[in-house]
Amino acid sequence: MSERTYRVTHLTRYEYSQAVDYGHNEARLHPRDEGRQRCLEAELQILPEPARLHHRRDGFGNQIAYFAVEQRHHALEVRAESTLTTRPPAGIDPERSPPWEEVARSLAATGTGRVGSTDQLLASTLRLSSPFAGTGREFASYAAPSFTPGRPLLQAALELMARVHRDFTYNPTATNIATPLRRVMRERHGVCQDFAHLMLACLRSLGLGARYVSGYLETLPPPGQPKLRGADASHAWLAVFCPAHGWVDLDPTNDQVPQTRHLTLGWGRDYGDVMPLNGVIFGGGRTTLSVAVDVQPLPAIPPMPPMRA
Amino acid sequence: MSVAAPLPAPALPLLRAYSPPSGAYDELREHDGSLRPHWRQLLPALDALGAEGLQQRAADASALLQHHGLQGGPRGQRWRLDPVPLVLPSDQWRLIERGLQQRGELLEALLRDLYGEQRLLRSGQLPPDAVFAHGGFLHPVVGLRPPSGRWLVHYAADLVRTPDGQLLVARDRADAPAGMGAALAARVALSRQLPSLFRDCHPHRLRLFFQTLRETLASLADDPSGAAVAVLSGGPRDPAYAEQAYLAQYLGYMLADSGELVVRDGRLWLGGVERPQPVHAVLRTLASVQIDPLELDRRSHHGVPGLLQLLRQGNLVAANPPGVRVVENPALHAYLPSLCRTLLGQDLLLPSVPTWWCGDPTARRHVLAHIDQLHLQSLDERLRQPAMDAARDARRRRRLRARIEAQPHLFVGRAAYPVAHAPVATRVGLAARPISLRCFAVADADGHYVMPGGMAASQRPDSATTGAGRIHKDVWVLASEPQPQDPLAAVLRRPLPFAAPTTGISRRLADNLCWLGRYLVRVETMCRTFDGAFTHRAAPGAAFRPVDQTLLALLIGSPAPDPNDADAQVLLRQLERTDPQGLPATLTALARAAQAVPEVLHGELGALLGALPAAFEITAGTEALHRQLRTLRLQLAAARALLLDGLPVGQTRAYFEVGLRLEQALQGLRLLAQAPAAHAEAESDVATALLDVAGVNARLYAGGQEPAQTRHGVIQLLLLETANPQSLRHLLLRLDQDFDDLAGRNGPSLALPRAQRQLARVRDRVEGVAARRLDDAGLTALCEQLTQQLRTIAELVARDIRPRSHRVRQLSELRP
Repeated sequence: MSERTYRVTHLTRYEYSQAVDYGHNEARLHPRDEGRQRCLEAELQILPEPARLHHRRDGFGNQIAYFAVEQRHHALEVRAESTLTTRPPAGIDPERSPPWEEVARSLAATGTGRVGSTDQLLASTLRLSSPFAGTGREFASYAAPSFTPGRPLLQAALELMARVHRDFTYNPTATNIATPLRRVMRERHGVCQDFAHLMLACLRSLGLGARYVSGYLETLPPPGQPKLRGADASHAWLAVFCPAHGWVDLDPTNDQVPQTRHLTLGWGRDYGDVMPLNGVIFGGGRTTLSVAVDVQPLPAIPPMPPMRA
Repeated sequence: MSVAAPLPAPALPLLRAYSPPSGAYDELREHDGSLRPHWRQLLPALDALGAEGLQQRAADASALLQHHGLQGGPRGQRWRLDPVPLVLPSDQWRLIERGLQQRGELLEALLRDLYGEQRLLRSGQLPPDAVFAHGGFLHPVVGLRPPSGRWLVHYAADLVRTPDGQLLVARDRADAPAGMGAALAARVALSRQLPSLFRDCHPHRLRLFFQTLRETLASLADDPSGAAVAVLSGGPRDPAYAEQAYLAQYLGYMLADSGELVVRDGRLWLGGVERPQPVHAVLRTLASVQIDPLELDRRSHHGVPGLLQLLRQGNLVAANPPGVRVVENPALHAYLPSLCRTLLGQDLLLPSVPTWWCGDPTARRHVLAHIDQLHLQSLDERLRQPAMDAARDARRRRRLRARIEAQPHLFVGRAAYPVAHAPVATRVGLAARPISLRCFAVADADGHYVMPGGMAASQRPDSATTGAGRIHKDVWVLASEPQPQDPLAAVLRRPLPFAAPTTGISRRLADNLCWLGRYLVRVETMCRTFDGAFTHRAAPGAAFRPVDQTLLALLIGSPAPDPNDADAQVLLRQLERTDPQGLPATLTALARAAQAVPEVLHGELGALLGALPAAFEITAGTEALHRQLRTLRLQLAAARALLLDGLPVGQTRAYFEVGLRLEQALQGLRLLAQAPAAHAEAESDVATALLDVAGVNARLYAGGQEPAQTRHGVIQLLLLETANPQSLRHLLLRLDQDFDDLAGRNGPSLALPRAQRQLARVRDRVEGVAARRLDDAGLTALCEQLTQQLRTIAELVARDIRPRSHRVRQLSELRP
């Protein structure tokens, strides 16, 4: 597979039954430019025009746009457009990945003070509980059948992903942001965010480092095949840290190792670190939200003819 | 070396009951029972006062603290001040001072690194797990650069002693260390109660500490006057609100809660009645995570959205910046000695309580081997903390061990010592009580300046069960010799203003003062009505006469008491009614309004108003009730007089008066509507009762052609008689003057001009009344119309001053 180019349009619209006096917001809608993804351009249009707009990077390297709308308004519209390219990840060989306990041990050593690489250090912090993806005995025991002693990490992780996909039902009405992970575990349904959090909790409960990834998915329903879910909204998956492989993306919602059709907006400990858009408003009455995401593949940009000096 | 013969314990009567447990450090006496040298001057003087004398001083000091609202009241802090200070000799003090200065710099360097490059984590000098397992680290704060690189504008440490007297830091407090205000209040109260002792012992003064705090904030915020500094408080419902108000007032800062603050136009604004004022710096008393619901705790009701972004841009200074709680992490204590050498190139002067972080395998083995001798603590504060004695019995020990082994990085084991004891005054003399000590430091140009004093606290033995009984002690640092005048200190020692800021008043102040006025009048009227009702019903069981009907109608709000009801029961039921219009609820509302304006309640006022709901008790027996009501009336009259004497002329006073007069006018109209028919049998009785309830002394106006105790007299006196300050005509005139006072200062966008126009219409209507021609229907219609118009005026006034409803909502809670 070769490189692909996409044009992404992400439109979010809040409509309020009563006027909002002002609001403060944060947008994490600027795709990351790293690894197998290049962000060629990204722009943000906000209506009404915000009185303040500041860009910054958080501790994980995500780009955040803070903006304040300070005029009275009845609707807020945020349109994020970007052009990016993706390459497939380097092929992984699950059988040859290191035994999972060995990885857990080395991350624990880094967590308690042994010097390691930047990624190793990051992974060691990403094996600790986070607000939306805490560790616990129930998660460790759910993961246990896949993580048998000495099993190669990626092999075990792929199997865990397949089990989550098989055991849990995709049901957008069953949960919301506030649904605790324990309930998702008990009732066995949820959406992509829940499945990502669940798998994070499982991996972290075993001492493995894993991060939450927020992004988009291109849907491509070829004749005779089911349409992939999550296409019409933002998507979420996770990445597990495996020495020598680095961060390996896993999409439990679709039981897939993301290739070129998963586009990464940002990553963090969990959803709370990478909410695409959040805000606090004053007033507003009843609020309705609509989101439209369009991931449009572009024809490959032909390589420039070689220049002659 | 020869063993000194034990000195005989001084035979001071005050010490008869003093016996600290063996094994604990005794602040007062040596092992041999002799007084420690630094107590030798103070103790005989205390003994001369005697147990009773000390109790008296304690009571007087408490009264003084009540003046500042710092004690008592429904939301006041329940602590009392011990008349015996904790005394520290100068050599020990010097150790604390140098130790905290060094610790302040060390923690400062640590914060700079953790929210910056994180070299300590990369190099493994500080284990990442030890930092991230604790909730103090805030990811959104990463990258923040506070002005002048200052993270710890102020800092505090809780100290304990080992049995041999060594001072150790038990806990570093950086997030929003409480107690500075209490320490100041304790010092002020105690130095007034023991003036000669205070003079003779010459403990170090605290003033320079607060001066330094002011100067540091002024320089960080680039605001030499300090006029744009606000104390960010948790609002009137915060139990520490009175202390925060006291501190704000002493420092000359505004007192603000999140409902009064807003981020707009890249600045923080305090919403005043006139126009918002910019705030350049906040001294926050809220926890870090609470200050910004946009980026930190999204459920926080106390925060100001956008605050963190202002800090990032350098448009606001926070003392301290959010995120500093990361250094309150007890696991750090295991690493401070080595970090001190790495970061400062020095040995740690003031050690922490020996601590083992279980994430480290060697330390974990130590903790597990000594689990029954150590105090176990979890770094994740959301989890249940192991009890102090969790490892005593085998089963609980096993469970604790399993918890530690499952998640070792979440636990520390800390050395446990018997708590040091110090003398506390009781009825029978001095008793030995466990004591804790908090010391405060504030940043200055060179590092940190340490308050030469602090806040010591003890607990009554029963406080664990009752929750009350926290005892505060002033801390006296004795100079080893008469203090040499530090020339620099003398220069710095410019007077501190003990004054409210000169800028316009806040909506909170205006709104609550207005309601304070209204509730005062409402309760006064209720009291007089009950009083009248009880007086008239001298004969229990007698049939209801018209006057009883009238008074009951006023109390109940509808004219239909059951004639068969035993009258005392009817009245009791009315007294006890729990709806918002009832007396108990109104008293509580009155106290709450008072509690929200601590900055204007000087002297006895705060305590007086705050204690009203608790003090008024409905007892059986008409006589007792009668007495209660009279006491309440006197208290209310006193409160009103004190307020009118004490409130500064201008908006502050005008809003209180507007509240008073609006409510007086409304209550007057209620009475007027009950005016008896002319020539009715009970005309005189009912008229007299109504005028009594209105608080009008009819005899003063008897010079007219007709006796006042008639229908006409009631209408004349309550509606038209300008000589009667309670008449509607007079009240409207005064309201008009109050409005003029307010209008002169207010901007044009406010609702006040409309209130003034409405008032003019009401006045015209009253001037046009022909009293003679008012029949029952006409009077009822007039009262209804005027009441309606006055309510509109009240609503228009409220529109300008009502705190903006902070219906902050999170957009992220929605899903498409």
